[in-house]
Amino acid sequence: MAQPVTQAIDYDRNVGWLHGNCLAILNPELPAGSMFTVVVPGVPQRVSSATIVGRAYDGETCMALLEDRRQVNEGSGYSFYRVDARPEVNLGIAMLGTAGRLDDYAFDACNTTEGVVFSLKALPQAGGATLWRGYYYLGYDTEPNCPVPSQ
Amino acid sequence: MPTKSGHYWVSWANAFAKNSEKIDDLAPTFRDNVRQFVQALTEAGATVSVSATRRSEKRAYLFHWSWKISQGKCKPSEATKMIGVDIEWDHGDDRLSRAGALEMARAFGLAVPPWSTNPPSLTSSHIRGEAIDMTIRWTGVIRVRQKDGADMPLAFTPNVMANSALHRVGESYGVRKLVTDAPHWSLNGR
Repeated sequence: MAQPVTQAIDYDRNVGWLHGNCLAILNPELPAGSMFTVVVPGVPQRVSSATIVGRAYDGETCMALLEDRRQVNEGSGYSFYRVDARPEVNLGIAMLGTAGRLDDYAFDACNTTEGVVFSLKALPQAGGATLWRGYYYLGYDTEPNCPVPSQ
Repeated sequence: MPTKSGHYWVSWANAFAKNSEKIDDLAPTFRDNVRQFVQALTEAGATVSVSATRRSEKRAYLFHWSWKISQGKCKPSEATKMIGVDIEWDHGDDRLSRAGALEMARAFGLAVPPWSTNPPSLTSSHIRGEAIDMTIRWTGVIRVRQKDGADMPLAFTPNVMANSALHRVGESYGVRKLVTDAPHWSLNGR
């Protein structure tokens, strides 16, 4: 039986999202060499590992900082890091080691009208609460497939 | 003479098919609504940073078909034509056609969720000039004039999607909030 996920974990500082070899996370203090786990939600869910290479400051090294989307993504407070992810993923969720065991969580992602929402939830048997949510503004229009939020 | 898909078209789009950040480029009715809403916000002490207004239909076309072809969601020969974008998607070899499209999709920074079959859209409220992406910030509580002249007190919340009072003020001007995307406001709320 799954154990309840502890609420003491600071998910914002330990969970982020990736587009290509660039990590966005609400944590400005990750040193180069830090290793983390990458989860690509879906069926099947794919899990791999990656390493922080250094900070990213522009669209040359980080797609989240391309001209069309930079202002909004930076404005959300994220810090951006170049990463070495093998195999390279297009979109994924990053979990630093202190965030706990992967088996304790459900990972998800969906398209909004012009972005991607990533989420980390406790398992249904542990209450199913949303523990972390990340928004990636793409700066172009897509067909949304996220559930419509209740007003 | 058409030019084959590939990196050339990324440079071309960045030169000739750019999106706009100018309120003046919106469709006239929505433009006037936005001007009044933004004026009311700034007069009340808020700062408004606009990140996108009208988006280029040609840029969207290049995004759409480079995504679909690069992901193997269609044959290169199925791509439609667009006046003013003389691109040749079909290189006469599926592998080369896909490589050309993939070069573009990567350089445009297109997201490819493994669970998604939805490419970037060919049409949108931004392309019609009926949407704006903007970030609105202020400190504490401000009083913003609504379209009917009445003041609405607005407390700042970091999550704009939850600030229903701000949404009501915007709606009074015909600028409606889409609650799935933080910066997005439009004529119809979508």
